[in-house]
Amino acid sequence: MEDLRATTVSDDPVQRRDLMLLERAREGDLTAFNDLVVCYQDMLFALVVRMVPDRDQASDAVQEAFFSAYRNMGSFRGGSVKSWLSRIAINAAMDTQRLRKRRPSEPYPELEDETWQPPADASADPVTTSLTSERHRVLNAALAKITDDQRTAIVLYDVEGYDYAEIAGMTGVSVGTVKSRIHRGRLSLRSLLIDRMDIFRG
Amino acid sequence: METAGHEDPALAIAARHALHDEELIAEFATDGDAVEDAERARSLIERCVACRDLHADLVAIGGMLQAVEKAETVAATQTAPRDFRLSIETANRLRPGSAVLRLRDRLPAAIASLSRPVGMSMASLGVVGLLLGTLTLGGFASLGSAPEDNGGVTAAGSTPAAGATAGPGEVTGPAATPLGSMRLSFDAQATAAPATAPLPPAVTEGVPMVRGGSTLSALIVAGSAILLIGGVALLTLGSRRREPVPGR
Repeated sequence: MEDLRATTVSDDPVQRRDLMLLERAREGDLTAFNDLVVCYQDMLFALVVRMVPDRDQASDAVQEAFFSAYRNMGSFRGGSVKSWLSRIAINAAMDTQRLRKRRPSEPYPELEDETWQPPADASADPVTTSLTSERHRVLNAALAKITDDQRTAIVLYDVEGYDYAEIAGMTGVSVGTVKSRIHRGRLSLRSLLIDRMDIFRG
Repeated sequence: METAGHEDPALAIAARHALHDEELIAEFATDGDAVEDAERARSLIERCVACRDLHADLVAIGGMLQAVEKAETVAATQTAPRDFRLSIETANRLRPGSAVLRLRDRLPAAIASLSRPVGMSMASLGVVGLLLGTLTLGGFASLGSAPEDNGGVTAAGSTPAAGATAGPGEVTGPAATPLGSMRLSFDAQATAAPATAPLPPAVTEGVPMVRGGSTLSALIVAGSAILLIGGVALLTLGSRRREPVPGR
């Protein structure tokens, strides 16, 4: 049987590096695993914090994701290490959401996550930059208020660019459910933003 | 015009729009012509002002969401608030495929922590069982010997339904045990009956019960002795394990 890793090793230097690190980690090299952690911790945190807009909870979810990845290194069956880690992080984020549902505390903070704010472009018009920033701020606040399932589906589809089938696979629901969550999520966002739609229409 | 002249046009639009499928509009705003019922969605958007506004808003929101940077892009400029690298201790704890090894490592400690309370419980049960067994055995033994002293007839002490014992002499018998005291009360009632009266069958049926009871008591004593020995052994084992091992 063809080794999946062998087909991908030569393609992408980043992937080649990831596979080598993972291979060494599987042989017991903790430094190699920690190198992988360093490579992907920022990306995974940026991903998870959009699904779990509480930075502490998001951090815990990412930590749990790396624990899980370390425990389950043996289950990696080739392909992209980044995608594998992303899937684990998304699952950890969903676990955190479920835990939060069982023990509801306070609503998500609205403005803690600055990753929604686009970086300021030096050449951009200050008015445009300000308007874009305000749009993102308002959008972020609204996203924090919709349901976890809807937010997860919207983040994965609209922001991260996964397709319906991929999201269905990651979240363990049908494609129809994913679509419905996205559409209902957008309707909820519109209801929350109805008084501020002027800044989006402009 | 579909609405009556005296109605508020905005109200009429809202009333009509309430019957429209907003999710279909949302689907159309996301997937466009790929939607199965795209024709109906387009028709709604053309005919209904509220549907048109909804569609425009949803397209704007979708565009805004898609303009948000991907996590990978964000990671290039922003760092996570924590370092998620694993320490050696954590890695050892999480080591893949080491469940059996971890269990093996933890087993002695688990045994040590359990052996003392379990041993104590077993020893206590053993002592109590020994006491009870000895007492009941003594009681049955005296019941078993009573018929010889009193013409071979007695009632089982544990079966008050048997009615009465034959001889008044038993009143002065070994009444120190609970069974003995029970027997004493029966005997006191029985003194009213003449010693030579024919015995009912229920009285003579008690004899095998005495034998069975004494066997049970003997079993209790033996079991209790085993419990006591096991408990003491566990206690000793637990005490030894708790002693610090040199070199650790």
